[in-house]
Amino acid sequence: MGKSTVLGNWEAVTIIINLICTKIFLNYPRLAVEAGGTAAWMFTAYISALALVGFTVIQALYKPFEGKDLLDIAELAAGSAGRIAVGLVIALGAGWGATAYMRVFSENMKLISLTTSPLSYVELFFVACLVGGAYFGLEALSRIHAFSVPIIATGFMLIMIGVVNYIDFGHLLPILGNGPREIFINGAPKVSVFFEILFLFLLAPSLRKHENLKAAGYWSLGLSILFLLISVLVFSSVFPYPSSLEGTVPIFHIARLIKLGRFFQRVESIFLLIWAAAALLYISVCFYFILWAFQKAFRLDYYKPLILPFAIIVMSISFIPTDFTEVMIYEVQVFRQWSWIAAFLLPALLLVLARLRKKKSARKGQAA
Amino acid sequence: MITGGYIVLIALLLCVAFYTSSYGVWTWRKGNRLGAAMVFLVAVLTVVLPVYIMVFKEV
Repeated sequence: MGKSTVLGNWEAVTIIINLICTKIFLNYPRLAVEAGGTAAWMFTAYISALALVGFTVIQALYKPFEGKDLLDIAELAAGSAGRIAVGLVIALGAGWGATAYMRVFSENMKLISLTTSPLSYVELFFVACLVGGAYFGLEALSRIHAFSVPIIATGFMLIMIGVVNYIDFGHLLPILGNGPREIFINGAPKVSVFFEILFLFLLAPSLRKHENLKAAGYWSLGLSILFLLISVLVFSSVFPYPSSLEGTVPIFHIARLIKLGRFFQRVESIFLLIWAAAALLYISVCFYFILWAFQKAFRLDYYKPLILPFAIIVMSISFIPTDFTEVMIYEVQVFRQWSWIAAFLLPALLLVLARLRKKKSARKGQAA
Repeated sequence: MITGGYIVLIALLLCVAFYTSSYGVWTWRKGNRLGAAMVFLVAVLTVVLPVYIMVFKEV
């Protein structure tokens, strides 16, 4: 992103909330039920607490590097090789987000509303949006987020409130669900659900001050945790376990239950609208970060000549898996199992290394 | 079977790859060899991946 791009806290918060919470519309409630059973809410609270601890440590380490993004810090810690390696890790992470979500959302869109259209036709809409988003840049993307995310959140809350009649808290028993071992030990790597917090550290130069980074991080994590908890609580108290594991698109199944008298039916159309909006914003931001990381890692002067080639590559890769079940297997069993290393461990290690190097060079300066 | 649509699509992909390569050449001339090599790799993938999808996958 350009040095002159300045983001307000609200813009950064909405970008991160959308990045973390889009998976609610995709598979998060089901992932939580798979991990925790009837205690899916407890599993969510647990991984949220882990994410908060991780962010607290990273933001504390970040204090002396005000206005520097993660690639700058990687360069301070490990030179050009570090910058390139971290840039590639970020590009791969964002690339997975863009390709997997593009495929899954297109497949689901085809399943729900565009049943006779070919997949490549549905994906073209996503590609057009991500090309437009990358072309207009971070400032335009952040403004669209600041405007759209409150509307998406309101639509989501309306759906959650609409199924209040179907909630039965008896479905949350037994209280420990699949057992403490499944939730607290095997469930811990699923903190990768918050992988997208990594992108906040790329926005650091646009947020200018460390205080802004800290506030944006806590607000975005806090609100994301709230939405994740609400979605899981409603989902697992509306659908009894284990039949809650059957639905492909959990929130869509919830939305289909809503019937407000004879005149307000088929409320799932609201769901389709907010779902498509959230997915488009998610994919556009991920795509922008692929370009940004690639440009910065290899010290290229411009990223705009790479928009079309990368859009073609992302679209092509999204067609490689046989079906969207295969994508979901990789998403749940690989990406959401291991990406905590890139999101939490990598920034912490880089920050510690950069601090050590800084101290060393300060000592050398004093000795000279 | 290769249809007219595929030929048009491949021609478009080649145009994008050519445009990307010209950016690679410009980067090379500025002395950023590694950056230029990566841009060339992107240009190659722009053609190879979609052709692979067209040949081996039906979408």
